[in-house]
Amino acid sequence: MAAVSAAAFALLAVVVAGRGPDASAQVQPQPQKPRPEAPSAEHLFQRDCAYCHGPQGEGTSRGPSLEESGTAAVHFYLTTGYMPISEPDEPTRRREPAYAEEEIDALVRYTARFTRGPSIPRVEVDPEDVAHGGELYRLHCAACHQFAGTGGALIGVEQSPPLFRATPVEVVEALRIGPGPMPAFSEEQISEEDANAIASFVALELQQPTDAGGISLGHFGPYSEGAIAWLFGLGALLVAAAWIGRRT
Amino acid sequence: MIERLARWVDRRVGGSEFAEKKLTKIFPESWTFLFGEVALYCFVILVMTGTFLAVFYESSLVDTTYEGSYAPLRGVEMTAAYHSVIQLSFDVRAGLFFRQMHHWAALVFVAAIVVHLSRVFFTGAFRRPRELNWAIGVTLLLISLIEGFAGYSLLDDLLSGTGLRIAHAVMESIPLIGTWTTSLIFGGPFPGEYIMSRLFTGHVFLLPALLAGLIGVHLALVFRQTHTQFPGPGRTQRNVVGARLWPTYTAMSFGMFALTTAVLAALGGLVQINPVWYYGPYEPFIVSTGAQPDWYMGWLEGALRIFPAWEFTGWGFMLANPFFPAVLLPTLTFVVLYFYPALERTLTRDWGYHHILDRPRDRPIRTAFGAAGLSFYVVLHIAGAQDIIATQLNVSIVSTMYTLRAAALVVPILVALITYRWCRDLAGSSQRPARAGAEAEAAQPAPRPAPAYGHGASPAEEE
Repeated sequence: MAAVSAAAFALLAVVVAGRGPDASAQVQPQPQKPRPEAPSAEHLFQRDCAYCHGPQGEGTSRGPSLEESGTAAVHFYLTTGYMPISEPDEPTRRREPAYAEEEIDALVRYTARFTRGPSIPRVEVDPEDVAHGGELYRLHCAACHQFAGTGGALIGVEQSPPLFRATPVEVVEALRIGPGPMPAFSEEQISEEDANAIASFVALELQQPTDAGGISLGHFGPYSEGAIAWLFGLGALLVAAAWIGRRT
Repeated sequence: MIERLARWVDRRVGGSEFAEKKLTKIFPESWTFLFGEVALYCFVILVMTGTFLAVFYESSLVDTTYEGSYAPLRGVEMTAAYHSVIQLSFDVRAGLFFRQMHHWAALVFVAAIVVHLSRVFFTGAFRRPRELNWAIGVTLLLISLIEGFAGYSLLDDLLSGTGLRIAHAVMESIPLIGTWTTSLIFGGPFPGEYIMSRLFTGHVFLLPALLAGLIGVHLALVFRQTHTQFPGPGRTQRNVVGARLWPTYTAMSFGMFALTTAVLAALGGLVQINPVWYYGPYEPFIVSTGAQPDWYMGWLEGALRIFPAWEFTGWGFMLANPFFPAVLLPTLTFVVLYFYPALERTLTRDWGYHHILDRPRDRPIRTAFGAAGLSFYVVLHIAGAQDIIATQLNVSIVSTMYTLRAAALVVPILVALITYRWCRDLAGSSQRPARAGAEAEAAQPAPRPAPAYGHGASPAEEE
């Protein structure tokens, strides 16, 4: 009897596992293995982007025009996996990119034909810049992304994402293009050097934090410390009191 | 040798008879009576670690530039106060350890006070003749909150500066005297010239001295009035059954001190707390999301966050919004705490003296009221992290606000009803075992001889 039910379970597991990839393929375009010849960016664009952004990136009722967004935006949205989405109302969340690196490069080159605007920035992470970058980060970024880069709540259902996975290039791209509810910062507001400094701070301090004091508790702030004080501090002492109180 | 020294002292100072009487004093046994001791020993550790910190801390708002060993702040302009804290954290040997131990001790200190207060409340230990000690205990809680907030604000980092700014706005919202009081305390418009040195003087001298003095009176009163005890065989209103102060109770108490020190040292050495180097120096024009106070101020933060945007104007005055959640609510909280013994006495017409404690289930109304009160403050406390809840649960911040508002009104009522019902059920189920205990007591005369000392000098006896 047990053998029969085990076999049935195994069969069920195979069926369920077999369904997995199919189901996810409907949500996300399958990453295409780059063929020996150069990937056809035009093919990818017309297949995955044109439905919302128009065959020439001119925009439709479902999606905005790409004419002003620049290659920085194309690169940012594709490398963070924010795009493509299957529904216009789907919230933008960081995912694994849908395309291989070569395909993203090809798409950037392809869209460069019809888009003007910020191009992919050159970013150099410099340890000398971290302190200045920290000052700028607290001034411009912490109000939404939190002092330690954990992200935070915004009005409505929008949230500012955590910055732990953002590459330096993505940080500066986000600064320039202002994805989602984030404002775009021009070079007059944040110069190229300052943008570099912020990216350096994010890469060298926020992503590799100096946890000098021990276990970090996720950098959520004093509330996580309060929870530990109650659970492990007072909790341990109440157990100790129960133990000592029974000794006499 | 020691005996000779003791005899030498005794012949000149006297008091061996007095000491012997006091050292054989009886303390009743229950592990729940050790909660207050945890708070006491946290306070001892706070004083010891705080003394170390005070040696290196500078209470000044003068601008300096950091050039120390923590690279991500090198070259950043900051106040001398924040500068000294960063130095203390990275360049003073064991500085960060003592800072963290001090902060953990502060969090556990207030937590232990709250648990101790709850124990005293739910067992009715505040009743005659101990109302005065109840009032002293409530005062200790109040001073501890102010003391903690003052200490947290000394660091002048981004979060504590934000907290100080909120405190400033709350103080300003007091009708008539608000603006005057605020500029008097802060020494001019925010942040003011003197606020840091005043916080320092308050945190390091004034409030700890007050705390130490009141703790002394609190303990002296426990000693003088004798400790309450739970009902049990051989225990009456006129005796105390338990362990002698010396050596049994002293050994227990010392063990508690050692364990408190161990837990706080472990937390201080292993778990990071208040990493101010991430927060950065305070600038009034900078703010971060996810800002919260230490847990014991969380209920006020939560009240400020979820209270409706009410404001009243009349006769040329304005009753500003922060007044209701952050001035009126804490005032009412402490008024209820101070007057609860009198209130209960009046309502129950119970004017008698009580040395035997209640089991919470035997006083369902009091227990339900206390549980409802605690649940109300827990909801407010949760509201203090409303934005983090919204982020972690992936819901809108507005819906968390409405949910928490509703919870603050509904949860205490539900908790009260459930607790009341639960107490009645438990009281019904425990009736027989209690009577069985009483019968056993009657059948076996004096199973544990009640010691003659203990209540001997109690003023309660003399009534």
